[in-house]
Amino acid sequence: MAMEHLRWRPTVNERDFIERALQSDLRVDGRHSFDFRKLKITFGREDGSSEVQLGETHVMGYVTAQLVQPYRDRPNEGTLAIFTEFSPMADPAFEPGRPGESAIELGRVIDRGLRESRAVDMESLCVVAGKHVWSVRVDLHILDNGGNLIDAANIAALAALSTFRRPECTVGGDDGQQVTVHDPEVRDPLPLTIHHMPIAVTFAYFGEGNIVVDPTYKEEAVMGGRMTATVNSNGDVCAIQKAGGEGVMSSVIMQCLRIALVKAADITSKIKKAVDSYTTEKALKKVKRLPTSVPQKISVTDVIMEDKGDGELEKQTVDVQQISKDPPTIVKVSSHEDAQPMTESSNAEVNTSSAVAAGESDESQEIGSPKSLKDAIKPKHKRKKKSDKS
Amino acid sequence: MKDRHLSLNQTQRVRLEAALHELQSLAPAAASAAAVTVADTIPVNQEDNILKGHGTSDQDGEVVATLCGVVERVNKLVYVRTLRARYKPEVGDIIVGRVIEIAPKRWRLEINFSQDAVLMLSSMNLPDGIQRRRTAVDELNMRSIFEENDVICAEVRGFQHDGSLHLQARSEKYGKLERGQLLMVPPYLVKRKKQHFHHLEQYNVDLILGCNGFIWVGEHVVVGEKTKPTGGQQRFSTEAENFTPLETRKHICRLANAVRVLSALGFTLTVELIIETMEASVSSNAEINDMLGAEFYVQTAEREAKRRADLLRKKNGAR
Amino acid sequence: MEYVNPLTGFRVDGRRPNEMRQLKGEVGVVARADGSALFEMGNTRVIAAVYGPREVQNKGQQVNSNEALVRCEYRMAEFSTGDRRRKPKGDRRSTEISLVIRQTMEASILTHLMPRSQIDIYVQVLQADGGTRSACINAATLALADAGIPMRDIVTSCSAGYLCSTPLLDLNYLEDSAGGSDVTVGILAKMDKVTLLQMDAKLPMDTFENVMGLAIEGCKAIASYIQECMQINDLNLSKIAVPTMDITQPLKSLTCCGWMAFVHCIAVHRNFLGLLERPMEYVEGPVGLLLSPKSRRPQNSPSHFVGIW
Repeated sequence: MAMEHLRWRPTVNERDFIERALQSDLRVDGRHSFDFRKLKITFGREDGSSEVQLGETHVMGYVTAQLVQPYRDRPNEGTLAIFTEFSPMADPAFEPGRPGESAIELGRVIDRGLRESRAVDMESLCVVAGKHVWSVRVDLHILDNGGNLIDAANIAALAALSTFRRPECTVGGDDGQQVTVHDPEVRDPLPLTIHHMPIAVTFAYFGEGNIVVDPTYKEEAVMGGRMTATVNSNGDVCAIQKAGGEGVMSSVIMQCLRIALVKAADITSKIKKAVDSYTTEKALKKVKRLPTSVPQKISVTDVIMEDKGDGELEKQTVDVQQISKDPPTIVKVSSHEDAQPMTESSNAEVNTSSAVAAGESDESQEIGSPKSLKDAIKPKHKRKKKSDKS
Repeated sequence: MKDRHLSLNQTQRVRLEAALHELQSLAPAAASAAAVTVADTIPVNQEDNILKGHGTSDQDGEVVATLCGVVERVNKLVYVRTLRARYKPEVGDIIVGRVIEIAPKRWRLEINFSQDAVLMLSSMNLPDGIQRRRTAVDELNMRSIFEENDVICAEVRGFQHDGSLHLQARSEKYGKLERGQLLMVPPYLVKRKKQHFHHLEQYNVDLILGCNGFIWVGEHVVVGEKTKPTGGQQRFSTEAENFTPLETRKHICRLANAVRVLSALGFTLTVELIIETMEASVSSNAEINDMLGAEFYVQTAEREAKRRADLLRKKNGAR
Repeated sequence: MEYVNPLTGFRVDGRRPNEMRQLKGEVGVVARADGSALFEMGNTRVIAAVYGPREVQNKGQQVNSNEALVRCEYRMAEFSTGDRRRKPKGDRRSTEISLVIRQTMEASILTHLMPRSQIDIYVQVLQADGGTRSACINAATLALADAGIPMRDIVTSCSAGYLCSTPLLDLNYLEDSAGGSDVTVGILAKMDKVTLLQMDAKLPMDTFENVMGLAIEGCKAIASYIQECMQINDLNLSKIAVPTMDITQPLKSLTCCGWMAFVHCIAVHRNFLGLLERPMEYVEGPVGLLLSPKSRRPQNSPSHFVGIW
């Protein structure tokens, strides 16, 4: 709050220009009143991390999960919590440390839209009723404030939740209370069950009855009031936040909601497209794996190894790995080295980056087909000979 | 009602309600007809070119009240007179204030207004009484004239560009007030009159009714002989000399309590009313602190109701 | 659990679906504050105190010097809910509700009339039984009117929900925590404009429209009740304060006075009662000539700009 004076304040000219331009249905950046800015969704390396760029606004979302005890009044439901971080690099008015009022408001609006509308299935997150449930935590980092943070952060949260995979766990033990969480490379992690996508659409109200969608930073400084409507493509209203500001007629509100529905459908399709392309890309990486039984492959590599007569060390490591690891990881043996020379060193530390391992072991499995193996081995052999020579 | 702090027993409550009811019925009927609350439309003849004054606003061509109060019409002007609001200053008002801050070449006073009032160093008489330019030394010695939390009496000189008040205290009767009590009442209880300084000889007490609702009741100080303290030690010695006698202190307390009771009841404060209340307390042999009790409160209400009823009867009789 | 009895149509506390809880408003409960009010909606009790306009305490917060700074603080007393609250003030919900109340009241207060000053609204929940947000806004409206702060319109607020396929007006805590939708609406009563709208949990669009319409009706009912409260309080004060006898006397006693004397009497007594304290410059005619102010008021003094606002 002490930094409020550092928030950019519009000059009289700019305020005047923005308001007057709106009279003729023209916005400063050339959009129409109800157009969204360009939306770009990218994903990070890990499951459950997303980056959203809406015009100049840049938001990152990250999802993690852990096992906790459930709330007493809801013993068989998991929990979902939204945390926001308004980084000072986004806006000079943001302070480090305690979240300000707008940060808390944003967190609560997205929280209401996702949790209270039951977008994410909570009951499937229950492992042992009353004892262990998954607590999903969504962290949203604002990297650049170009206006309309709520919409962008909401999209980031949705994208992150859609690509998030939680580890599978089985309940066992003698009393049925023992929970074992499996490594992602042991069993495939599971996606969250998302029933519907609540999309936040923000409207900005100016005097003279002008309304725009997706206000930019400057429009936000000039506006008289704002309303965020979270709707989904099924025609449901999930949450609305109009915290004071200029008064509008209720007919205007209904009109805005109808516009929001149209926009929501559009954005939902964009998110789904981005998520689908990401998942297929990831799946493709995995698909290179051979469906045949693994031990065969291992013997093949052993044979090849002995033929080549090199890589004694690797063979030993292979043996070691055979014993200690589950099949999928072992395959990432020498063949793996060719494809990814750098991972030679990471043989020993294969368990640390499980995602990496999974990806890479998949790749090695792909190369494990006899044809490609020989091709793969040859250059290495040549290389080895060279090194021997040298 | 501000009588929450009083614990009235049943009879007292009944008496009080009867007195208040009588007071309300004595008020002219016109007052209730013109009362408006926020967002009420004020009936106005459209062709008249009405001037919209304080407390009104123009919405869709209608005159709408923005305050709760009574509508007053004066020729072409329509405005809403509200009661419970902060002080509304006028040029020439006598006010009593309290020093909050000492700023370069000025003192900032708190006067129950939306901003602090400013008393410039040049608007204040220097201790030695000479009329001269204020030098840097004077500026450094501002603390010897007024310090933080001093009570000062001054007059409104005008308004500054940002809306805060400009005060002046050039006359002898203005300046620091000592040896007395400062009371804060709602400003609407103090009406603007010709005289705000009252010297009650029989009690040797000064009574200053500030237009901003700050009331000063203190020992009488002879104007002109006001000793300007020139140094700390001298101040102590003069204080020791001018010790306020106990009788005067008692009178001050009685008057102050009378003001408190009247303001709690919501009666306009006039000198006559205050003195009358005080004399009633003396004649009924009430202890000074009993004046703030329930019984005196109810008695004062009854007395005032009776007085107004008498006045009305006299007026009606005279007609 | 059936929140609406299918046979009788009564709710858990015996109300009908479109019936509001009992309202009670009282003004002037905090003696020290410029304006204060106590508002009850059923079992929800809220107290609001307004200080201002007064000098800005923290100059860093003053963003726009042409307008008053409005601050609001919402807190729930530790004893207001069934279990003792751990953090009554600093938690996220209280911060959000403080923000919401502040922006709602800012939409109505004419802040440009009080530049460079600060208005503080403190709201405290004494008993919480659902609808605290609405009760707080209603109490704040009453307190602001009590403090004599000019407002564009009365702001009232009410909540409504949807349970068992019925829109319900004014939810209590039990109905609120049932998991159904909760719509809180705040309107500017005379202008019929929606200024606050919050909603959670899913609802189809048409149902939402019905529920919002019901909440707006509730708000209007509360507005008429609040106006009554204001009228009663204000009237009492004005009747007791002014000693009204004296004004009429000289006007009636025209017996031997000439025209100038008559006018002089009016002038003196009107001055006496301070009726013309403000608009002296605008009075025309003979009375005005007598009453021209002693000193010219500076043209650019905002608090004396008698104009249209």
